Amino acid sequence: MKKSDSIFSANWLVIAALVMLWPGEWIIQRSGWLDDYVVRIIMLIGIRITAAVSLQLINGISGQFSLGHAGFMAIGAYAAAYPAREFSQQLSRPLSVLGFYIALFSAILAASAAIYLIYRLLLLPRRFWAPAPVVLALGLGVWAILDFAMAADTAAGWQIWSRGTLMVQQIYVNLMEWLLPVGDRFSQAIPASVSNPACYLIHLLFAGLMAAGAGLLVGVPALRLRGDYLAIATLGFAEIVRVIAQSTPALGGALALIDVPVVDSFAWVYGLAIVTVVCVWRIVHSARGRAMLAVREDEIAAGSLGINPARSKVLAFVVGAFFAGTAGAALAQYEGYVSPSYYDFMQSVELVVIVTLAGAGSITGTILVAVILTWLPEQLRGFEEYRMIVYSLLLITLMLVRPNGLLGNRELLLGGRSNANAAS
Amino acid sequence: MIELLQQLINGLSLGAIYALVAIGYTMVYGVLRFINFAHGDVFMVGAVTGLYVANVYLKDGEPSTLAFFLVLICAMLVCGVLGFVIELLAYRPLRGRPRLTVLITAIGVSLFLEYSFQHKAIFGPNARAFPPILPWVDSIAIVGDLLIFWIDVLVVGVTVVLTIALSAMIKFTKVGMAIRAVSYNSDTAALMGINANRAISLTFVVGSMLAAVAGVLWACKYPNVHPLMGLMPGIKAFVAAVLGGIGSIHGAVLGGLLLGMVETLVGGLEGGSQYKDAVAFVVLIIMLLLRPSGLLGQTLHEKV
Repeated sequence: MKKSDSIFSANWLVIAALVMLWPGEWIIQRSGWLDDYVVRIIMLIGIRITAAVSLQLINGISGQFSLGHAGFMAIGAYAAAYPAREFSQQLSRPLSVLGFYIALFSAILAASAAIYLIYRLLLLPRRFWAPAPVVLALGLGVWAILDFAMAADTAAGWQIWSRGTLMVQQIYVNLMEWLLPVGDRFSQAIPASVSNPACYLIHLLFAGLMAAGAGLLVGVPALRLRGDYLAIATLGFAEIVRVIAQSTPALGGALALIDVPVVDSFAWVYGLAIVTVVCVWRIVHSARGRAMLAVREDEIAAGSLGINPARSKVLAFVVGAFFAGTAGAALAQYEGYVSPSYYDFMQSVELVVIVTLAGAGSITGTILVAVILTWLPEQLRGFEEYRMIVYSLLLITLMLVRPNGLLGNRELLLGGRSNANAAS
Repeated sequence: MIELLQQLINGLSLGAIYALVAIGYTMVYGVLRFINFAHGDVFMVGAVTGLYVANVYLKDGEPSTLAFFLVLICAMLVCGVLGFVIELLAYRPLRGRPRLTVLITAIGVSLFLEYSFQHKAIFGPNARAFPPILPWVDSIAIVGDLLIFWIDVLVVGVTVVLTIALSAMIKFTKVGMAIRAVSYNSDTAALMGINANRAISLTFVVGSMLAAVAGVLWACKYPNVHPLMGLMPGIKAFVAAVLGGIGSIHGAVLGGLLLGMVETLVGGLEGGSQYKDAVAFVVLIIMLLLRPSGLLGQTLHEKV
């Protein structure tokens, strides 16, 4: 294995960065040398880095143009904020939060299993009549709409859909009734210094998993879509997420989900950023990553070499969505509230601009550009009204002059060698 | 039943506006095979231009139907020029580049239009009311149990006229044939002596003019004009174009009308008005999954 390809050459950097987190937290947050405004920007940069690097995996490395990254972040944010607010009792009940996630995931699993079963059943009559699945699906859809539109009538035997959803809800409710008191009781035995970080970690992990599930949901149909259509479809997904969040009173409705316990910690946010960068880096510099790059360059040729393009693309979506979810969760717990209007098209566009400006496939470039593009607008507060105009002109000029981004596919500082991209 | 019919009629005029914008998307896709993200913002520029011209006119003049058509013509001219300039500066230099590059450029143009209009010097971020240039904009005809707004009749009428005119242009004139030729194969069309650049520019100009008309009509119906007003209708019109079959003008009209009616129907259900915006995206996802070529489009087979 060539040394330049070895991931171990960067290990010292990672270890050094991780070690620096605790003195970093002290210097930046505890010592009071920097004023609050600067600290806030630093924290937001950290979250941006996580989000942008995860988008780089989807857009740059696997070549699928996703405009819906804010949707994954929103899912992660709500998935962390809701239990943090309701069940964690100011982050002291990690086991209750764990119970919530177990209950939620079980209900989702049950619903997914049911839907998958229906899907397989729908596909069976294909041998007899080709359009059968579509026709049956439409019929089922009409049935479901009528079912939900009619008033709930417990005696009606055909109301399978509303009864089914009620059953799934019951799974959640029953599991919660059972797990929550158990979680509360056992959590009391855990000292606060352990339960706070444990809660935070659980939130990050499971919010990421929720977002990863959404990534799977988006990634599989995305296989059928090419560039422009994929962009609009992912944009649509993010908008649907936002609309659902705004319409659900339990998630705060159109205002915001407030009173989320705040975790104001530089170490956690930048620790997450470091973990994200390391994970994405290791994926890229591995066989899976090389497969993604090959699929990006020429899907059919890659397929003829034995690479499964579907698997690579969906993997990119799932992992990218996972880290986006963790970024959203970290943001939600830093801000203390989740506002659905924040996770709109503009957020996705800002992340896409970062990834595009950095160049497809350049991870260090993404970090650099994320820092610049989060820090610079704050410095130019006086020119706030020109900011987006300059952004958009920058985007257009960039595409005209240097469509490969600032760094193309090279990585910064690590010898200037190109990453594992074979086609230069 | 009457309720349903009422909703469908309301949806018809909304759908007509979507159809006008969708035609622009579909024509550009036909000749250049790319989605002009900035089209929704040309729609917005049309509405804003209409607002300015109408305000200037109303300083000394009286609202009248003639004035309305004057406003319409002015908006069409301005947007036609805008469309031409956008194509010349942002898309023509990128002819032949990978699709992603052009898509990002289109997003850049869209953002540029939205945010430059948000600047105080041009329009400002706050919404303004479209002046009542049509004296009868609120009048209603009552047919049996149905309420029919005259403005809706105007919208549908203008759309029908423009669609017929456009179809006639595409089918019977030389420039229409040029556009058709370029949409089949631009290299061969160039070999046949057609100036492909000119045909493409004309496509953009015509599409932008239709978007301007749509913008002014929208502003008459929903008088709230602001720089971001083109975002949602633009995306919905794109969905309409995909629904009908992108590349087909009749498909765009059909898709627009269908989407407008479905959206109004969903909005009319109890508790459904919040999900109105999501309807377009759900339709889009269903279409892309089940029949990406659209209702009237041909299925494309991918060749290795």
